[in-house]
Amino acid sequence: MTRKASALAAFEDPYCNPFTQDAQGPDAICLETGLRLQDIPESYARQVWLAAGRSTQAPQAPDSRLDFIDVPEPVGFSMADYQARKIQPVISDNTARQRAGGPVAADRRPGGTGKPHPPAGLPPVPTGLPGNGTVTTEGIVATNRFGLGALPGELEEASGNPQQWLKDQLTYDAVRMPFAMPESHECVLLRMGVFDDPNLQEVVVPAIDKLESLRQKNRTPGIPEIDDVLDAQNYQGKLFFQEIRLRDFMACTTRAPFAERLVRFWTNHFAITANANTQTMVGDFERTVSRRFYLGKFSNLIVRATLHQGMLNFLNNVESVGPNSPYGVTIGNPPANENLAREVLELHSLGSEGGYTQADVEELANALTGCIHGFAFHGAERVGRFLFEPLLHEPGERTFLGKQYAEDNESAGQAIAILNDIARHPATIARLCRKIAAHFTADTPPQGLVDNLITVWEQTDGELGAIYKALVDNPLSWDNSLEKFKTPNDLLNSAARAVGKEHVFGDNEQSREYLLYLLYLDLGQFPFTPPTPEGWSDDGPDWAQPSPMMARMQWANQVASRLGTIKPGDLLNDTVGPDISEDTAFWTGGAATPQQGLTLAFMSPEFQRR
Amino acid sequence: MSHFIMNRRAVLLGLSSSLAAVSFGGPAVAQTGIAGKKFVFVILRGGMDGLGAMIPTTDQFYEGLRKQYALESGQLLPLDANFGLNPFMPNFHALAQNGEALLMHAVGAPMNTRSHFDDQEGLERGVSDLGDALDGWLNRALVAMGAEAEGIAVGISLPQVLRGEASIVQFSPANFPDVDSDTLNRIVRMTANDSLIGPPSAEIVEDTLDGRFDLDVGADASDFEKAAAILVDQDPQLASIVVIQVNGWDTHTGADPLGNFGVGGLLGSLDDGLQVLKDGLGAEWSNTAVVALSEFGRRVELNSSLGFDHGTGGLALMTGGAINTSGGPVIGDFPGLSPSQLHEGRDLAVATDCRAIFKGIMRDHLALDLNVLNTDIFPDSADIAPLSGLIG
Repeated sequence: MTRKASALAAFEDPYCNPFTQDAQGPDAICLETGLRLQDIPESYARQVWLAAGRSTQAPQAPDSRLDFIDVPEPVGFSMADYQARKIQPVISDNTARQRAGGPVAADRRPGGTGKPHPPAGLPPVPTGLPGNGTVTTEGIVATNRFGLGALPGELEEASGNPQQWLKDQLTYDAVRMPFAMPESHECVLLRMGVFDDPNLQEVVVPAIDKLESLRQKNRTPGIPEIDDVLDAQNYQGKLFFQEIRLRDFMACTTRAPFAERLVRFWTNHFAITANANTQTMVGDFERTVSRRFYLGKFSNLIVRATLHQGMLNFLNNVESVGPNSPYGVTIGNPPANENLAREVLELHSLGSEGGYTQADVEELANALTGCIHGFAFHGAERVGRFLFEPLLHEPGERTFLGKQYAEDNESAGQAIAILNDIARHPATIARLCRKIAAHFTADTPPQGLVDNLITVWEQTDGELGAIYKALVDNPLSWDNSLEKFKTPNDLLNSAARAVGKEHVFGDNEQSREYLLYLLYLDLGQFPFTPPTPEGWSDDGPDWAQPSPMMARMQWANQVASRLGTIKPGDLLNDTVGPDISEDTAFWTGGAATPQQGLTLAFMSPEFQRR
Repeated sequence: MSHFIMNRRAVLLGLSSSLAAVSFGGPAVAQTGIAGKKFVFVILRGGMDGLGAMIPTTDQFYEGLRKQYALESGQLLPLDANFGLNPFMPNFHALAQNGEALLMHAVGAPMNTRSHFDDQEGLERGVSDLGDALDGWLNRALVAMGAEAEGIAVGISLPQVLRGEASIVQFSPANFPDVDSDTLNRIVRMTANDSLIGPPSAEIVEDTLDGRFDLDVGADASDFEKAAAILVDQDPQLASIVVIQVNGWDTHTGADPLGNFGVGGLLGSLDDGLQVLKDGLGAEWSNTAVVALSEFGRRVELNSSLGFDHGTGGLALMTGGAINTSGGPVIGDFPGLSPSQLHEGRDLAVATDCRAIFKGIMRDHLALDLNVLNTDIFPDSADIAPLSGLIG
């Protein structure tokens, strides 16, 4: 078995086929981007077709969605490279260079060329759906607790058959972003800047060109975006804000809000904080891991998440050296970096009560050595891509939780095998089922629901789609007690879905886009920047504190001032339904001004909870 | 949009015969007419307690109805034999003493329903029937004045009174506005029974008293400062209409006329704001007329929670170098507070429709034709005569 084949074998999963394959001619138009295949650069074509969910021919690789673990042949690296670099990321940004008086990258911003236009296939924003006029309590629960807050007409749509409405959303197409974005490899190149390494210029410059081109295609006509006003050479910042903008767009417009919420759940579960190194990787993580693997087996998801370049970088695995690896013996046998291994066990799977020991942490860390992403000295094609580096891998068998894992110095097979077992460990199953139930029902979820999810997990070997369906089918998920307090992102998304994105996320004034940036900071949940690897809490008491509550009031006040004469009663009726408390009815109905009434409606317990 | 304005103006010229020719005769007339004239409308949203601002010291029913919130003459800033001013308004008192301010009790909006929404809509659309017109009366005035005037809104929202066909220049604050104390208090009451949201919201109130959070109490002086700066920079060939909104006047509770967080604090903030406006305008103050008014006044009698509920007749404050104060500072009829004099036995009655004030200022300050005022700007209001002598 070749190295590549053995790595791929670990990913066989009949459920995981996120993209449909339609045979079309080379002149085929991508419905999502409006581009013809022959007009798309070769290196870019596959990403576009993957993003569009369409392909003109059978994939070249056994399965092109497995690209990121497509292990290149380990040739051309020398020990001297590692020793010279000390495995430190070679990345430095232009800002630092400018401050140091170094060379400054040329301004490659297109000089106002071409008019912006949106991708041809933007999902339509519903403007009110025909319904039978009936809104049920279960429909309200479906849209608010399971979804992201009601779009106009969504209460009625969901009320027909709430369980089926939710289950029908569980497809890969439902969470596919209708935007083309740079490949993950190119995202990382944007971090490099033009002058980092002369050998990279030929790949960095096209990556910058593509980013600028896609930035223009993905924007809304006539609306300045915050990434328009960033420093001309701040490509990584532009990419980052574009990721946030497109993500906001998905949340505000999706007709599959349950699926979208699940995608965000997993991005948050495998939290990567955007820092100077990972800023160009976090958006890619959500697009290529959460969106593509939110269905299928959990074992698949945890392997993808652990080996994504963002996770490898964020939790320091790219700097981890096996003490007895070929490189490790030349630098005094330092122990492997345990950060990723520890967080995988404590946060992503078993939990701190999961029964593993320090020896298990060290063994997983040793198994993970060699799993890095390419740096500049690996060559342009390997930058930012997953790479198994035998020079860094700790040789020998591993013993993890009492089980033996065979030596493998040629692939990530050892780590993948352990991760596959971690994914099926009873402690992992219990912890994940409780976390899913708590996210949707209450900070302390009904034990009967948790037990039900555990049973389904065991029966299906962690088939996530089956678990979501069990969650929906269980009556314990449906009491309308509004136990969950919306996180700031939940709040913004639900408001935007109710009254329009432009009123919540800024309109045609640049200053308001900037205010959006401040608002995210004030409310305490700036996208892609959870404070710790644990991700954001969704427990109410962690958010219901005076300072963030004050920020919510100021936000509500601001949004209300933009909304003209929407009646607070109408807003509540169209989002949380007609069944509101006497307190809320009294105070929103008796407000002194229309603006105050809307502020109160946004701040009502009904709107603040889900 | 300007194209539309010109067309509409042409129609108006035709309709309003020779008087219109004087008003809209062209640039030469405009330069000597309304060029540089400024009108500032301060909307006091929520219903200012006029009787807490200007106290009828000689009305024998006043003390019994206002109970512990009745003020004595010795506490007040004297205006004339029958009225004194709340001591939180020293600047406005000085303006009145200097012949630059007028105060008028018993002013009513076009509709008197005691509903914030309806009465504010009536006040801002300038109609007594909400089916009549969907845009704001100041916007219609701007349409009538065409290219000779500009409408300006200061604050985070575009008020209804300025909405309509004419484009408005809007100046928003540079940062998130603070929540006003009234809104905060309502949120705290609304969420009091929510075990999760209630406590931190209530804690904010305590924290604001400690200065940990800033609250917007009444008028925001920076809005008045901004308005003055805009008006000073304005093209001298243009007339200007500015609207400033002040929230927080709905004092169902905490209506203490001498309280920093009650009516006293609100009046003080408005007093400061008007002074900031005057100081900022400098020499342009002489071209300026200011009116501050609510959608209604408040009920006369104190309620059980130390506040005053929605009422009818309210207090209009006018100031500016263009205001003629020869008959002041207190003008207009005061219907009185005896049970038989009160509207429906509870509110100060309306003696003056606010449209009379606005018509007088629009005609005499901004040279709008009376026919246009009676039909286009305030539809079907021919029976409400403009109040003469406010300008000059």
